[in-house]
Amino acid sequence: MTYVESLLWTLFGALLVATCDVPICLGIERLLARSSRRNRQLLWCLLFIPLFTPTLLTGYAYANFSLSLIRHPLLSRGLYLLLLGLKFLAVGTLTLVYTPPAASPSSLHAAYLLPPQNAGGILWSLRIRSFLRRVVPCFSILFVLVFQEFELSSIMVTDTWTVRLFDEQALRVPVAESLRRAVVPVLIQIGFLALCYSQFRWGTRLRANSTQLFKPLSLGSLAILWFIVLMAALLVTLFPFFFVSRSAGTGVLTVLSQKHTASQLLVSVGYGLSTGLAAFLCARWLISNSLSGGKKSHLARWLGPLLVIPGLFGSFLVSLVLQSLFQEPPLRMAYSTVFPAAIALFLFLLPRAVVVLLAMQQAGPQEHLHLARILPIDHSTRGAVHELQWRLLHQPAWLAAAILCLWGYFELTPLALLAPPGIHSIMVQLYNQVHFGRGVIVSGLLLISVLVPMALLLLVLGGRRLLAAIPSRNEHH
Amino acid sequence: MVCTLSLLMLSGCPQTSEDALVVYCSHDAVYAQELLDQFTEETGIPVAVKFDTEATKSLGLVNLLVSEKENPRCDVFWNNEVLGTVKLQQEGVLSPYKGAGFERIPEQFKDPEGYWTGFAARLRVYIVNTDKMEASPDEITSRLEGDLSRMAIAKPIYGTTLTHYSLLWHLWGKEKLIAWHEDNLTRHVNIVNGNGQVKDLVAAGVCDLGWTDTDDYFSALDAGSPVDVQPIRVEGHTISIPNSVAIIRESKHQEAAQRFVDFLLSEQTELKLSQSASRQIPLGTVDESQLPEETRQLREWARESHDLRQILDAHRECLEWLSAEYLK
Repeated sequence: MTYVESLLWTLFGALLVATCDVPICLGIERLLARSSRRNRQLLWCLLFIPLFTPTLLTGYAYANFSLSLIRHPLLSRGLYLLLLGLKFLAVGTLTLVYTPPAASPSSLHAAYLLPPQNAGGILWSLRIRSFLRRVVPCFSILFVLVFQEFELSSIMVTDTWTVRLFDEQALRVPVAESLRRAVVPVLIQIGFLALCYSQFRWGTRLRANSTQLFKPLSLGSLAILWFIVLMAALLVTLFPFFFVSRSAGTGVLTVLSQKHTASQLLVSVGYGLSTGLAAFLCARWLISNSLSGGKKSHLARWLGPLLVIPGLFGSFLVSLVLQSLFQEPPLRMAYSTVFPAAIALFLFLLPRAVVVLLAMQQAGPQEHLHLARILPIDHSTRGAVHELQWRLLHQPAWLAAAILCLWGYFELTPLALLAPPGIHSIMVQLYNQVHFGRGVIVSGLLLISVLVPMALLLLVLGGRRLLAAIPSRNEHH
Repeated sequence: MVCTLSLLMLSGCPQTSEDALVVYCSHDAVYAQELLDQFTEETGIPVAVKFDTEATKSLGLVNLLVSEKENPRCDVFWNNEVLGTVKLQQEGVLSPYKGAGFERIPEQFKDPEGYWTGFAARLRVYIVNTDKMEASPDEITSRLEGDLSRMAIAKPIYGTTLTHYSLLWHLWGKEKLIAWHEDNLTRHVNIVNGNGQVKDLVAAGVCDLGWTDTDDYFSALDAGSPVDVQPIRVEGHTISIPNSVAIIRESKHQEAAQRFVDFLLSEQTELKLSQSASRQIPLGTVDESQLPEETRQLREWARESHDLRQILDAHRECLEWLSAEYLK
């Protein structure tokens, strides 16, 4: 297969996954809106489990099965795309949940009040715009995530443009030449991200979710959607986890008894947290100073594309370029520090951060938050009011930051290439171990690598309760 | 971010201090770390190691060392094969050293001027699923004559399969190798990413036989898979691929680097690697009674190996051809 053929197959696969995922995500959004609080929590939980599952875990669980399909490449590619489609359902649904509608309830109401001969066209126009507004960002984000995927395709022997670029490095192709070949796929991604951006940029300033009225789902649809969500958790996470970690009990003890494990964990968590938060904060600054209305900074306008575009090349190419740059003065002095890998991770995460935040941007304070703010607070209502404010104001931001930190934590390539001697992340260690097949140590490492971010998330939740307990500045206005 | 990065730096400090010997290691971390720890324990010299990963397939460190040539930070390179190290020698990245361990190693596995020295080898082998076929030279030969859709090899663009192809190029010449390669493709040989996947395909019975290295074979054997091996012979000789160790030119820790090279080339280290799960084959003289049973047979085969020092030109030319093939 040539590079162009690989690129076309990847393009086709990404379009296919995005096309299949969007209706499912629309359904899940409706399901979420019509569910009780407990069911909603369960649904989100089931959606997030696959998203946060290390690709390494899923990939190695299916690697042998995928290999067994070596004489049926279409089936093998189908399995790869199915796993990706299920993994990214949470991102698609989140995007839909936080995407603003095309029209406010008052404009819709006004359209309904128009004489029937005039209302038809306007209503259809509103419906189409509303549909596009909601679908395009979701489709674009899903497309970009699948299109730039590398790890799973590499493990499952699926020919993609990212794997081809990696192979080129094996043949010692200069980085500049690889970058030249990556221009077309990057332009494709920029095109889709621009589409996504346009829906936010040229739309109304409505708040997400505030005007969505969802019809009830039929029993059949309900069953199918629950089945898909359960299958996602089962196929992407639970089955691989069970398959790989059958002997994790003794493995955990063995791994914990190794003297390097703690430092490897610290390194992974440190890189994940620092780069995830940095990408989150930077994306927020860029969006508020260059993309949204209000005050705009020239610096942010110029800096934005410079910072966001490199990440679209994928972590492998970004790392290779930084490896070259940090060997030249004046950056050479920082070559053997933690910064090259941190910067590579940051650049890789930044486009994702921008997209996630753009999707959540409209989920800010709403009318009911205002009501919540002016509620009289006494000892009996303080907790409930703060809980409400948390959900409406802070939760999307915390969620975005958590997703970015986890992506940073699980990313392998920048740390494998750029971490200074003596610093090894647990994911790199895991990758090395998995190469030798399944066993006690691999199981232990896998379990630990997944439990650590879970424990951190619990800590974050604890932290947010603390935050919720602190009176909001707005209360004083 | 500042706090977290500070934490990171603190966690790295003991290992990346100025005193630490910097070792780039493409041997598998799971086996190498124990030896590195033992070296520190015995000598008191801290080691900061940078491992290659399966993600970068041992190509990373050779390329990295070339790019760092003007400002090296690495002191010792422990490579899991030879050709990359010889390339570094040609690029002027290495400095010669003939220490205590150098004399132990047979002539064909080291550079005469001491720029690099080989030790603890792997063999290129046919891995065979014994539920599907008999692991005998005759049976393998007959399987290689017909349809190859039940045979697997790794992409020849990296790792030991590249060394294998380079040797064939050296022995057969360009035309014969290309014709043979294309013939294999028309007979539907399965080409996968690495030797590990070849091993997995054969162990699972999806393929009946394939090319791999002895360490991959042993990982399948230890997992209880029905596999056996025969050495790959080309014109009567086997293909033995040793680890190699070399000191980097302008190393800031020359004395520590020399001690580390002596340590790696010692009988003790070769024995330890032969007793590890990868069953590396000692190349120097060792106490035979301490060798695992399987390694003794491999040692016999390794003695019949081609001399890989002669194939460097072929390696370069072969890589050029493969680049043209794979960069379409």
